[in-house]
Amino acid sequence: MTYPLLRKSSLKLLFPALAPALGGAVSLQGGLLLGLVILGLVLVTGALNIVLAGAVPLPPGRDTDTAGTAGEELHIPLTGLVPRGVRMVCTAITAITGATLVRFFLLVHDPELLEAVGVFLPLVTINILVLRQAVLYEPEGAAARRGLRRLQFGRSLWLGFVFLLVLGGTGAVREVLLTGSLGDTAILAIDLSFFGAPGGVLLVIGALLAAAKALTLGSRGKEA
Amino acid sequence: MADLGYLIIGGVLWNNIIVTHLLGLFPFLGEQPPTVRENGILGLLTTVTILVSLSAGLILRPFVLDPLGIHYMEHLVIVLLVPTVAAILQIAGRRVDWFPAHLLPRIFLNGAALGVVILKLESGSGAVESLVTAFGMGLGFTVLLILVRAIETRPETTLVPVWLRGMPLQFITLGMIALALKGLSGI
Repeated sequence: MTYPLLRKSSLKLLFPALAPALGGAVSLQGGLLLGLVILGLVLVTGALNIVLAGAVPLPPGRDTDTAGTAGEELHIPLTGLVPRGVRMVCTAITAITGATLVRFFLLVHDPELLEAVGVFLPLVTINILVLRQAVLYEPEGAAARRGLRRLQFGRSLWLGFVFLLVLGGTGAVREVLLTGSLGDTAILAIDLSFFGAPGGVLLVIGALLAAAKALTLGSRGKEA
Repeated sequence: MADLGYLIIGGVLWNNIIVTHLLGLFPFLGEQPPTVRENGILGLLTTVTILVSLSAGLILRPFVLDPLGIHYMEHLVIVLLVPTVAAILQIAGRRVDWFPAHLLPRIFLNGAALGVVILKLESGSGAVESLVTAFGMGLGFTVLLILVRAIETRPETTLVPVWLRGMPLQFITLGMIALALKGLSGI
């Protein structure tokens, strides 16, 4: 199964997902950290929602006696603990718990990185890729699957992985623009720090989006 | 009083949450409401959410979290507070005809509300100062939302090349506004 990187439906999710994390990606390390936290939360909240969810809406014509819920088929005693109505809240609580644990870890091992990602770490809770896990059954047709196959949520993980790469790339570009170097490797000899600062990075994003759109339109024109 | 006015103006201009922290970009990266009026309402509802959530946070911290020794749960409390306030607004809004209920998920998803509340609670400044600055930041978010949508809906934008329309134009506009606001930071 393949998921093209620039499929329109993927971009419609990736762009809004970038919104609460973009400010925290000021370095390669910061971007990768936020991306990894979000990828981890996508995995954890997705699995939790599938395992703990109550009754799964079945497709028309399916026999409710034999289909059961994901948890029942996996023989998990916690099934039904989280009703559908509060699944979003449960997802948010799981996500903020994960973010808090990462915060404690960084507080002990890397306080400088924690200061750099600062306010953006708790904001992973409202990341659309994470919150989307609460409604995972409906868009991905998990209800129609049987047994362990219901635990498949490959597209979410793929999106999380692409998100990690995008955020890491953004962090690396901003680090180069802000400091002129990537880690210990000097790259830029001139000062372009304005374009890495929050105001200037908006111009850079706008220019990159315009270039991407021009290339897409150009290739479509050639195909026509 | 003059200081409070300075804080509000600062929140709108040089301390603007979008310009300084890149928070609240959700409407630009996602789907911005189509009309200037709806953008204004979204901004004002975000401001109300910020003020109510921040007030609740400022009360809960010294009277509940600190006495119980559960300060580490502050982020969890805030994350639950902001959508709760948005949901209360939604329930209250059902009584008003003009209230656009479809905008409500964007209030807590846009990051400005949650970001400002966390920033102000962690800043350690006084309650009044925090609330006034947060109010200014909410207004600043509203002003930028309205400004970008108003520029984009002007008839002159039809002269802009196709590859620059939409999201690229929004970001370049935001970047230029940021550049202008940065110039005001020395006042």
